[in-house]
Amino acid sequence: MGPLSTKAFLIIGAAKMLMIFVGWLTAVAGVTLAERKIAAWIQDRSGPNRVGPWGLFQPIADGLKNFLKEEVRPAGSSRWVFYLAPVISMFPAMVVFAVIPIAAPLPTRWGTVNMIVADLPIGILYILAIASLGVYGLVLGGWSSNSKYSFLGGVRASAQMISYEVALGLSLVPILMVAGNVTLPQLVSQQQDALWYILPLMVGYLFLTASYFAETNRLPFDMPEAESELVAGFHTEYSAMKFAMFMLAEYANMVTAAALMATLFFGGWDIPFWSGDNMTLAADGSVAGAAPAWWKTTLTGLCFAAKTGFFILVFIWVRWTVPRFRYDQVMSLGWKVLIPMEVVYVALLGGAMLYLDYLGIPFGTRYALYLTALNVVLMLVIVFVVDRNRIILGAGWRQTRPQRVKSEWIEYADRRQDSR
Amino acid sequence: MLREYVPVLMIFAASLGVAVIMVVGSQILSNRRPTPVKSEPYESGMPPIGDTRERFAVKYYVVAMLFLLFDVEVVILFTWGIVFKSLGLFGYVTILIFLLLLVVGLLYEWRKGALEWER
Amino acid sequence: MSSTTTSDNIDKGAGPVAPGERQDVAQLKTKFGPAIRSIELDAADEPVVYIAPDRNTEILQYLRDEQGYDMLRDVTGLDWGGGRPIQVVYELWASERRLPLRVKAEVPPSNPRLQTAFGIWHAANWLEREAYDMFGVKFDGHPDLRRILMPENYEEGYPLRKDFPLRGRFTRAEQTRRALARDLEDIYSLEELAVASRETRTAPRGLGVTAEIPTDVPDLEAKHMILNIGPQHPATHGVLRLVVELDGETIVKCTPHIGYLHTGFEKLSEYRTWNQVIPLTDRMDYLAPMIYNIGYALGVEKLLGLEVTPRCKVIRVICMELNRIFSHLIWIGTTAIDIGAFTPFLYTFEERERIYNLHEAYTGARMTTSVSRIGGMMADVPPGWLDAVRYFIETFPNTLDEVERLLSQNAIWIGRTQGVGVMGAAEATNAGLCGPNLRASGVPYDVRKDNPYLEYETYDFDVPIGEYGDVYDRYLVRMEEMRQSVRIIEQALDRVPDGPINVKDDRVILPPKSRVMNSIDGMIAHFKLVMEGLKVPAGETWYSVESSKGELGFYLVSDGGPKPVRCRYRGPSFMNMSNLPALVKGELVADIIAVNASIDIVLGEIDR
Repeated sequence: MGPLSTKAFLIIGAAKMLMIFVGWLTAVAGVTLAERKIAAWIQDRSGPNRVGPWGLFQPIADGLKNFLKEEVRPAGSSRWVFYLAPVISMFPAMVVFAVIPIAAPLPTRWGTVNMIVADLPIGILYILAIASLGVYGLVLGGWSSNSKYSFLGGVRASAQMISYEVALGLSLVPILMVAGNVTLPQLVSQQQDALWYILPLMVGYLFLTASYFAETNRLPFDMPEAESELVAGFHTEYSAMKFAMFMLAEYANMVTAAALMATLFFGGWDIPFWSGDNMTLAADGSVAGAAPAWWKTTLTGLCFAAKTGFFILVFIWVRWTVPRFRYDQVMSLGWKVLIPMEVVYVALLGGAMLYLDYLGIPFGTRYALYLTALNVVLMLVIVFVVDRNRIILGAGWRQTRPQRVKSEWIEYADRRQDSR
Repeated sequence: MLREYVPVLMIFAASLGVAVIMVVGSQILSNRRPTPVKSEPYESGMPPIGDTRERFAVKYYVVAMLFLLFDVEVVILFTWGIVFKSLGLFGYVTILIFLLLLVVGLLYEWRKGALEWER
Repeated sequence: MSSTTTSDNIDKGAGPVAPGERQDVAQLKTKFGPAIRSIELDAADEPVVYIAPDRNTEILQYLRDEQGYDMLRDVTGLDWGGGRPIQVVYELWASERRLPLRVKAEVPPSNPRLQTAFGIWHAANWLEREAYDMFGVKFDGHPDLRRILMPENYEEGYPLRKDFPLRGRFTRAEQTRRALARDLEDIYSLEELAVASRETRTAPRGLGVTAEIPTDVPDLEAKHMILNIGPQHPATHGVLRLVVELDGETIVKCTPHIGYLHTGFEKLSEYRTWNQVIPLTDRMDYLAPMIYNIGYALGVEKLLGLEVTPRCKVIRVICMELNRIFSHLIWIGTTAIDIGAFTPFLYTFEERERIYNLHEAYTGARMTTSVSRIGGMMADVPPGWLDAVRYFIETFPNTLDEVERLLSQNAIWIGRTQGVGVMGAAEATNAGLCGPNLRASGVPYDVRKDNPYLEYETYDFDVPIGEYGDVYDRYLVRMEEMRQSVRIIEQALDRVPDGPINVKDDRVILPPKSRVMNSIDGMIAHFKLVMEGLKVPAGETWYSVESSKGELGFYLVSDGGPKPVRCRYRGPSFMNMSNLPALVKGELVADIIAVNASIDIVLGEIDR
């Protein structure tokens, strides 16, 4: 079968887009519930349980409430910027998902369909470019509110997000070097052929995770909204639906981050230890590898959802476990730790790959295993030499003292009566 | 293929539509009774003094300038990374020199105190 | 006043000590001669030295430098009314020798003026402000003599003076009008306004404030931002307002504005009988109410010279230590939440809930327990209650371990707390830091050890001491204190004796109903206690207990009547709060939250 005709492409594209978009919005709403449920579970309490069975309709109730609630626009705020900010924040969060493949290609009467909204040749670059627009929403929202807490949150947001954007970009370079391209479906098929990139590029994964926690403003990096310091940070003055839009954008970014982690490092929709799904859809519509089937598409889709769900769980889990960094610690972690380490990592990885090429080892499982060995060594170096059980260098940079305070026990004698 | 961009436009339209509907819809549906006290900017319940949008500490903007420099460099690294395998040793050595410059620049900023946040 | 009345039939316990026996007082008298006007003994046989008001700083300086009175525990006023002089009371403590000393200076009510002791003890800062606020005593040379608990535009007078009516001087309508009509000058200091507007400000009222404050900010530099943290802020633990001057996110200056929760407990206490004061006490520190209840009762019993029953002593120890755990638990939880870790908060609240249940089982109330009575407790503990306490202290350390696992070795926690809000030992002693904060700074001062009450000297427990005096040390000290409290409760539970919980004394404790109904003397005793209230012999005492937040002092003065002349509650939170500006200067906004949480304040006690 050849490629889809233009008409079929457009119709199927629109259908896919709608399906994925709606499904994904539902997922985002579900994550807001999942966060509260999991938090409750971690903290020995019930969580939302009034609206529907197990509180399942809570997101719907929240949405309705937010539509009907009174909105307050503070005096002295810049009206149009104030209204625009949540849109700017939400729009990129909702469109980045377009280039992430969610399942194996689906055979249809009109040809084999790629399960992705848009198979752009610029995949990762598209994500970086669009996602970085989100910071404007935060900054403008913070600036336009005419409130000092919002303002502080806004400047914090801008400084933090652009800092970690450099770190995030650098953490993706190793993948580009190994993969040699930026389209996500090809990354998936390469991981199917060799190894999931988590093994040969595990240090890169570490960097990516740190950067993405900061980019999505999740604890321990939630500086822009740090509720105990800046009340609600950049969205202090936002209420009702506009507040909900900021929250939706945050959760949407989190889902995207989780999906990207799954795709870039954990094989995307690939089902491990099973070659039945190792298929690639070429541009001309032909399928290389295993034969596509609707049930394979379903299975791989579920697999992708499971992986994404796992990383969302990690995001939530971390949030309810650790305290928050201080702002200067976040910045120093980004600039003084992550970026230099990433530069060194890129250099080391490049050297190793050149050496493997020089040895004549072809790209494949063996190649990946050699890189894995290098990464394990680097990981050990980071853990035991660079970090030395401080977990994150930035956390303790300001202090120059042993970790555990010596607590002396002083025995008192009651000398009071003697002293008279 | 250029036609792959059409679904992107579609999802742009859908997202923008949803976002605008959210803003406009809540604008129409919600009940508004602003009072002077209600629309006072929040500052822990106190009337704020001083202008919010005033000259602010320069450190945040220094970070923005650093970002501009480094992000451009990251973009170069992207293009290099994609063609890394075909460039071989020549490309590697070139980029090593480039990274060295990058690191020297970062070290300079570091020593100059552009990355310090306190006092 | 006469302070040494010794009632014949009430046992004084330790036995009287003749005046002048204390060597240091004798030295003081020889050194200053006529400036020492008289020396008396209070109800606890501690010396009270009356000094000439014009030489107060000289004498206080000598006491600090030569005699080792390194802690200023209290500065307060005492007004006897009727045009008699206002007494300004300095309560000192020599930590080496473990001796208290009370110094009084008498100033005329028409123009009360004294030199400030701020240069000698930084602790005098807020204490003198409060004495100024409440009694109108002007302390010359004080750096920031403004009203502290009452609003700055308060014009009704000085509330704790005897001629001040309980409901204030103005009508309620006028008070409301004034409260609503306040302008920016009433809620911001001149300096803050000057920084915000970058203009020189002139004081409208001039209550000890310099008339002009120049701003020396160069024109091209970034403007400093004045930010209110509180009163409506998630991390101020009540209605506390911190006005922060920020350069970027660095704190240039932090000024606590307190008094939003001012209830006038000290004034109210003067209008109640001694036993009626007890419900007021637990409203001050609602996080450890029983410590306040029992501490107050202990103070009054000291005035009475009354010894409670052995059973009562042990029960009181159990209650106090239970409340120490109670209060430290909320400290851990809220501090963690302020630093961003939400989960420990809910873990500790689960344990607090169990202590609430114990409160409820004993007193019927969960929060405002009012558990003590003068001469005993409100009732004996219900059957099974002690077993419930034992079960609690056996299971509770598990949660403590869990919280420690979450925090103690957590890199972010360490990064956020170590080296933040540091205060050294000498400075902390001088500035009046209290309790766990003081001990975290390395000063081994714990009232339970240094000046034991309720036979604490017979319990085997340790006092944890920090080394660096930062937030992390405060955290470690409190964690360890909870474990020590568990140890104390264990020992106490093992030794709870049988017997009555209340003293058998009809002048102090209501007789049982069977006697009231069946015998004439029982009925008379009941009638007299209810109608007239407890008669406390004339005298005064400064009684302190170790509250969960630090040294909690009760300065109680009686003239022999049914109502107190003065009930002064020197809450530890007040002292700790007064040190916040020094602790956070130069730190970041996030640190102000961490430090403010770490010093463990309760606004009910600060504002009283």
